[in-house]
Amino acid sequence: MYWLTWRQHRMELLVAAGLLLLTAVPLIITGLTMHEQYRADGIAACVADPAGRGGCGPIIDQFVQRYDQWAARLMWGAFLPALAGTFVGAPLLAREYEQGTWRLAFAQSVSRTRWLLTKLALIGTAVAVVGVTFGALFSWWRGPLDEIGGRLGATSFLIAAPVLAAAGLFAFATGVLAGAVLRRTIVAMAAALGAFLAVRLPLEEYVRPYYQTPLVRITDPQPGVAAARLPDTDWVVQNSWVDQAGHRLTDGEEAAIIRQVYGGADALYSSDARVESFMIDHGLRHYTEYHPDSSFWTFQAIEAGGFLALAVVFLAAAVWLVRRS
Amino acid sequence: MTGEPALRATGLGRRYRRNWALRDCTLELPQGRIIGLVGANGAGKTTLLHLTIGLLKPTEGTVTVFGRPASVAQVGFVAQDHPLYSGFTVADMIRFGRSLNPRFDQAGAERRLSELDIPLSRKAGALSGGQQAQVALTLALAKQPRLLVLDEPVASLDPLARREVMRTLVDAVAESDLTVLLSSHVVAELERVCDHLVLLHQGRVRLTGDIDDLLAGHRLLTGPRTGETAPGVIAATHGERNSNLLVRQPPDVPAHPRWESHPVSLEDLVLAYLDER
Repeated sequence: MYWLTWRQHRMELLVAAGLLLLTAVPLIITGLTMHEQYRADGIAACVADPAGRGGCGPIIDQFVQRYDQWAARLMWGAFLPALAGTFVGAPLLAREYEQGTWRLAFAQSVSRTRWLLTKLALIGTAVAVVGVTFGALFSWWRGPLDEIGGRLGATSFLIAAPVLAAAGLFAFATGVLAGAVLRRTIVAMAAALGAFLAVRLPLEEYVRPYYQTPLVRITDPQPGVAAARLPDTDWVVQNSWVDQAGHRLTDGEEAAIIRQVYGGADALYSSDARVESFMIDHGLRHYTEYHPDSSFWTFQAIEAGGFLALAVVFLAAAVWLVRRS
Repeated sequence: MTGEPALRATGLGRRYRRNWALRDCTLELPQGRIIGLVGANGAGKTTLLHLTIGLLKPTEGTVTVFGRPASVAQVGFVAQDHPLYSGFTVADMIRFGRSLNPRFDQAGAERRLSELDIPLSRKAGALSGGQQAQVALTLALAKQPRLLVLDEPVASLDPLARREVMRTLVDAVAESDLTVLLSSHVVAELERVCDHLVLLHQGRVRLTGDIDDLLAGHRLLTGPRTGETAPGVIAATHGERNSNLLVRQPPDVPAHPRWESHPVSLEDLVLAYLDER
């Protein structure tokens, strides 16, 4: 069985290794430069003790700007799990059914249950190992940027090893199940991709903010200071205003105030000096719900756990379908 | 040899959604024979074979192989169109068989393939249809099963390849106490190699028995045209003046003097039963 799994899936493993190599080389080259600059330019010291040193803001801004584009490219890493579902998971059973070789594979002394479980275990392990490797590489590269901006933001969170590997296993399981149900390779690939995106995309906006109750911070308005504020590592999920009675303003009330401040014109910014002054005059304060960066591993564990649970359910369903016929 | 039948099906049936592909199938097949399974397309042949080896689970009834529940472990199987992994070399296919079957006879398989001049380094997808069938049959035989099941092993082959595949099969049976169950709609092929017959029609077993007994138990009667039906008439064809009746009668019963009696061929027999409504 080990040999058969290797023989049938070695191409996928080689492609994954090639992809890893192609990604690792540029990331290691730029990453080493960036880590060096982070230390040498004193940004590390700034981040460790922002109050103790002057002029940190501009250095950090410059540093972030310089590597922002590279960092944005890492967002593509978040789609790697989709490849595991489409090109590894979906064909695993669909190709056997489509080409009729299931009648060969399932007619051997090794039962089809063992055949499938062995394949799922071996390939699942490979998917997890590749996912963890990619995740470790990405997170290492982003290290300095994460120390500045926090790890709970979209890209950093998605490409960290636990969530990336678990999402890979989830996508893989989705593909296997799609293949068991649909029995057509191309159809199963499309279904696996669609199902993965349908689960993955809404997570960030609708699910992830609620993994834990967010912390609340109420701050005084500070006219003129907003622009100079250092970026922080918190993940802000809700921004609004409270009045002296502790009542949170609705979106409509906020919009009305902003229109009032700008004399009726629609404004894009809700926190510049004029708005801040208005807030002081009317006793309003900033109300912020956020998750601290220290919750990162808890959040990773919750999201990875969810993906793994779904993966187990989907794989169990696929095994049941194959055994049933 | 024990009296245990190679295959025993009791009330076996399989339904796909609403349609019964096979129904009320009760059968006992003897050991050590080459058994032909005939029927039109869609008669349930593939379903019966898949149930026999446990590729499918029955909707109702049971099937046992040598007294045990159907299981692929002790049965060799060659599926219709003899599927192989087209990207595998022939050597890979042998390794596939060896790694999935504890009793796999690798040396025997390699010997057989070299006798057939099939190169081990060739990709399975690049082999001719006949060679693919030979590789599939070799894999099934190397499993050293007691029962070998073949689904339309020669349907897609040219006449020469047909003859060679059948020869491989007959030689393999001669060397061992293998029982073979093979389906086909090429009756001429079955007549040459089989000694036992199962006839499926519209998902039900219509006829089963030793071919010699079946041929002796039926006869073709020719006589003046008649509209009458007699007991045991399976099929009747009427010409302008004559009628031909295929009847089931014990061989020692004399025919009515009005009728001229002829022995039937297997083809006549099969066609008569397949025509029955």
